[in-house]
Amino acid sequence: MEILATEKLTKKYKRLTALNQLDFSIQKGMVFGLLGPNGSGKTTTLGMLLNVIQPTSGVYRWFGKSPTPESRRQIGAILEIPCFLPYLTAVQNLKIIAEIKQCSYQAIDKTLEIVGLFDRRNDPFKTYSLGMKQRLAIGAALLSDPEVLIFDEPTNGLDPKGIVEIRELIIEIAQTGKTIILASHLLDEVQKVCSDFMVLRKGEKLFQGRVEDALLNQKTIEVGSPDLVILKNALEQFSGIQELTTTASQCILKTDSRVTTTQIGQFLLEQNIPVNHLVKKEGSLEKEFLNILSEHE
Amino acid sequence: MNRLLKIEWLKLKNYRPFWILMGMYTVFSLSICFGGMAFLTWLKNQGADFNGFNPTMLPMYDFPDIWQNLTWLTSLFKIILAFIVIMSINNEISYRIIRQNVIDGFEKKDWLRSKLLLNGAIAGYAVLLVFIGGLITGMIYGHPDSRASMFSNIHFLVAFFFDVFIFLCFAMLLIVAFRKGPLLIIGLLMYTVAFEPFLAFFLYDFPRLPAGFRPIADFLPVQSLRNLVPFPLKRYGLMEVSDSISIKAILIAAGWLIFNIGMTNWILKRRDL
Repeated sequence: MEILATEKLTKKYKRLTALNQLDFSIQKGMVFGLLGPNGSGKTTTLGMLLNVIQPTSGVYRWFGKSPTPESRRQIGAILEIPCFLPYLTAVQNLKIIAEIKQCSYQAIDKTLEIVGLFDRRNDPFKTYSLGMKQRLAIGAALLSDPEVLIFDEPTNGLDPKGIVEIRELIIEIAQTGKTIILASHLLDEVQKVCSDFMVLRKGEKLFQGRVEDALLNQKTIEVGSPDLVILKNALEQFSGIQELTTTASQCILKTDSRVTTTQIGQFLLEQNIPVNHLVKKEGSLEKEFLNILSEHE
Repeated sequence: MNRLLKIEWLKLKNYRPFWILMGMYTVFSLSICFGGMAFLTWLKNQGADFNGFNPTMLPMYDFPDIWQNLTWLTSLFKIILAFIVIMSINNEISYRIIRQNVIDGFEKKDWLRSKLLLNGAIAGYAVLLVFIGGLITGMIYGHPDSRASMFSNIHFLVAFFFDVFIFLCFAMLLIVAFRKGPLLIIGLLMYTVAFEPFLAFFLYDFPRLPAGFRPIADFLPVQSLRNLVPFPLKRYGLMEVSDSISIKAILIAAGWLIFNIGMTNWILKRRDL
């Protein structure tokens, strides 16, 4: 089922085109990464989808319909920084949001437990650390149990522990089957969390696809042996290898997804070829991202 | 509507400056109501006499004149209420609460509506204070015979409501347009208590001004609201005072009401949050 679709979504500021004719769509259950360098149009895109930035032209549809306040109530979103009244406590802030989203106050305590702020629920927001503020923002987004969640740079400015906490929280939420849109310039984060991704640069869409497919291209297996020539000749007999390159000390294989290191080890053992190195290398989105950017230079 | 007002209440009820300013206004408003007689007594003790007339005998608290007297006087302090509007909206702008409210499912119009309801509630409170203060002081200090006409000039309370409400909407427009809360508070204070009264005085009374300029004063944003309740105290100098509200003043005030709300709406609609 289609959750979101845009058609030629465009935002121009005087001379700058912040977003140019963006078309994309998101299906139910996707964890969708929005990638791009700073200033590439990620927040502008999300701002327009949330009705706080007026598009210069183009349209978008939530849940197959033109956007309404009702459709926004089915979306939980944070844009950039957590926005709360600093002199109110977590509970008092969430009550305001519950009124706007027209959901019951009963969800407040439960949500605060999910994001680990229950013990601090009656402290003013201004006394929170940055990590706690981010977690409260995520809590606010979860409050009405929405179908779609939008997180814009949720780990911005956090320490490593905070980053891990937020990431785990997002993975937990994703496992409940919710559709998530995650804007980030941290590729590692998107790779760990997302099923699909799109790359923006200077307001242009460069790529959209599945994270798995992008990584598949880069999965390699490294094999080392004292005698590389024999190793190479033997590996050429092994079925399932798509590409074989040799470096000074090892062979690097691109294989079908079904091929495992165990199978290769077993095969080389049968051939009586000594092996001193056998490692599966996962690809990284970072590489793919840089590829995509350089292809469009 | 109830829900929008509740949201405003949730935003304000734990905001200390809101209570401080409300408290200040309440004290000022009640001291106008109850302090008038104390002031006249003080005048008397200072030896003042109005052509042999005992100041405490001034029928300031007689019904129905009391309504015009008290509303005209308390209206001087409505700027305190405007500070509440400016500070709360300033918070919402600088902490990006408006934007988050829209993200969470408000329309910009809902936000505007909730602010109008708040302005209405504050103006209603101001009217209630004068009403209660007037009833009590009128019963205590007013001539007993005047009680028969207790509610006859009650239309000044309605005029006072619009005086305060439209002024609060003016403050709302200014803070939405200029966004610099602290600066605006100082600016509005200077404008309301110094600049515009001086300008209005100049326009109304400066002898050598060509007559064509005089009507401008009736259209100034603050003076036009002051004109809803005509200056009543001249009657104690035995001059004639209008105790009705002029149609012209109503029309001009209505114009400002529409302008203040319409412009706020227009700015909000056009602005990226």
